[in-house]
Amino acid sequence: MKGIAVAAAVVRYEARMAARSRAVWIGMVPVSLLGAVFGFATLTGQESARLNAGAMAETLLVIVPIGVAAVLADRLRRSRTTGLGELLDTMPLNGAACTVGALGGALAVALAPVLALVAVLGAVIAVRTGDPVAPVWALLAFLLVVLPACVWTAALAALLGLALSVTLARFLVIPLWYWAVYWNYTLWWVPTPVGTVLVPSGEYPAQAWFGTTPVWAGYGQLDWLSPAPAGAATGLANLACVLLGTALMVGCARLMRKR
Amino acid sequence: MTSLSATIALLWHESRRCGLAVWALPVAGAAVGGAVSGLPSVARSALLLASYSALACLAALCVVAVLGRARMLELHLSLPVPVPVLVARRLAVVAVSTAVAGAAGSLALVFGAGTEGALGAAAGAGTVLCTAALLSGVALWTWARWHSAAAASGALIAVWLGYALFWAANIPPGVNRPVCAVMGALLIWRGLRSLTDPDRVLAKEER
Amino acid sequence: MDVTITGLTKAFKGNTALNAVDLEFGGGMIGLLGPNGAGKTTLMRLLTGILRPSSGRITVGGHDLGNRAGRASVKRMLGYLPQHLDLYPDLSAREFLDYIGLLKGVDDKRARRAQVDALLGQVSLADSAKQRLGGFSGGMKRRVGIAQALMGDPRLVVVDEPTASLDPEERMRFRSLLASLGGQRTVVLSTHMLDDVAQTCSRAAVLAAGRVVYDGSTPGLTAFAEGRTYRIDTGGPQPAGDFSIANAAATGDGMRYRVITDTPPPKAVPVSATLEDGYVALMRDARAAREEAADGGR
Repeated sequence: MKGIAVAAAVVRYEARMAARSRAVWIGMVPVSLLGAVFGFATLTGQESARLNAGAMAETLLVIVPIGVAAVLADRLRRSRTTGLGELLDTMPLNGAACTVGALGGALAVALAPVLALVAVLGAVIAVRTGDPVAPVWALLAFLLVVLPACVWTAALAALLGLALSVTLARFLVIPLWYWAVYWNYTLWWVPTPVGTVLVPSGEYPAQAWFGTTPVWAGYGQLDWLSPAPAGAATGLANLACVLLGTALMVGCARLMRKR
Repeated sequence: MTSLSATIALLWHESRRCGLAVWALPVAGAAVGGAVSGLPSVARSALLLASYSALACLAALCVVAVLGRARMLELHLSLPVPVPVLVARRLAVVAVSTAVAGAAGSLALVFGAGTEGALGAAAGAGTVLCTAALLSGVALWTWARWHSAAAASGALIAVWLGYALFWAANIPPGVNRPVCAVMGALLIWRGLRSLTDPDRVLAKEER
Repeated sequence: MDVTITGLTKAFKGNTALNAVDLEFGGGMIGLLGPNGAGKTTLMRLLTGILRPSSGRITVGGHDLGNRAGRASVKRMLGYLPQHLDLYPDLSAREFLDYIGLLKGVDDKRARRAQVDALLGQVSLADSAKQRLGGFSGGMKRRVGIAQALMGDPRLVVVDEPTASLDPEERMRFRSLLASLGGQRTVVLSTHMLDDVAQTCSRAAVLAAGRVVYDGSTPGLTAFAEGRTYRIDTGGPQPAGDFSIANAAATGDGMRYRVITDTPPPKAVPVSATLEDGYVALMRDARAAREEAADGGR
């Protein structure tokens, strides 16, 4: 209970600091505007609102997680350089709660412009399809497809930011994301988790709850890690794997912070 | 009038102030060129543009790294060399490194893919430089305007995504390259100009 | 080198840091004193041409800092040690001084090397010349800072709070280094450490709330507290009254206070004034004058 209270307090203050940081807005607002350009292009309005919402969320995944990673790569390192880390180490706090809170608070602010964009796109879907529930589908697509991917890349970037220089981490996360999610191994064979249940490409949840047609899901290089998308079961399995991967990265980040 | 030996010594110092990034850039260029040249031809054409664009992004991130390492700005303000000149010298080092990276990539491509790749490689080196100019301009201007390397990297990655996924995919290279070069030069000029304001430079130092 | 400051005002977004400052000094060392936020650092930055004044004029050796040519001329004969100097950690002391020498226009390699060696010896860092600055202690970094200020043999040296954050031994060493600089140069030392000024500067100027409230000899500062300094011994709570406490010390069975006042409380014993007392008395008078002016304005 105490850990949760600590995490909540850290989330609150990290969010406040992130909201006052120009870097977060300067990075995320253009990315969201770019997302708007791509998002609008996918909204044909010909299919159901549910399908449109899923397709829109999958489109946002091409750019939004990279923006999030670029903006949050320095979040865990910041406290090290300012001496705040040493100060926090002297306090009776739960280290994991602090790490989760530091990332969670900043992530919440970084995703605020994306959420606003999703709301707008939800309204557009509602107008085009005539389905008044479309904004709810858009919100669900954000929560089940966009959010897990962003949490995953935020943790990856923050971990890389602790291990390497922040600038290098910002760069590396771009090829890593595209390698993990979009690498076409039939064109050039390279070991990649593309198509497996491990990666946050959003294809499994989008197929499970929004009825989209996956491109890669189920066609990974390891059959036992690439079940054919089959509704909620594979959707949930994918979300669990993504969350587990995130937890692993956060755990590593916590260990590195303690060093 | 500064002597040649002093200019060389100064540029050597400035290249060291730029950090490891500028030395890694040509290596990355050669690695990218080598990797792409080893691809089957169908994959090569698909990945060539992406590689050039990634190289340009890497060069601009090098600029951010160089700017982020800038120290002692208050002391530099008191020295005879103006801060914009100091920053411009360091950017020149990155520009040379980017050109070498482009050339290294091109050479690797020519050696790996033969003359078939030579023309494309030369054009690619130009693309890398023009795109890097635009992205570096965005980075420098953001850094100079908002006193933050984090903001500069965020902005440049956002612009790079727009460039790679939208602009470069739809605009012909004949228009793309000059527009990027001109925009980049303009942003670099604006960024350097804002560094002539000592209040702004000191605000950066005090953050 | 003569420095003349006339009607100097500097405002930042409506906040006036310096207000109509007039000051004139020549060779030797001058100490610039004042509480935090008095405008010392702003004055240093204006004096070095880093900042431009909102109004007023500064001339250094006949060069007007108000124009570009004047600033360029002054920068060629200036050495500056800012309050916070974040040195490049990956350079050795020798490399760092070589770099600064190049930036100051010392183009000849031999001359530069000779200056670097001489300065490293002067600041007692010859043995650490090849060590990286990242591994230096705070005192060593400060000595590298003063060495870089002296590169190019400047005629005007401006040092801003150089002894803050140094341990007592380093402080004393640094002080004697500073004292040796004054001979043929003009050295402006900004600090809030009275001891530093007392032991290195024959002349002092005191800033308070952006104005010069004292400009004269360093010992002359003491006169402000003559006949107004008292000692109060008490075993109980801190005494209250219309006075400023200059010092407080535990005596074993109570506390001994040194106070500055025109209306001494009962049991207060008059004592002879020190420089510290003079400074406290001056600040007290300046505060009273400001309050009076504010009341008059209402």
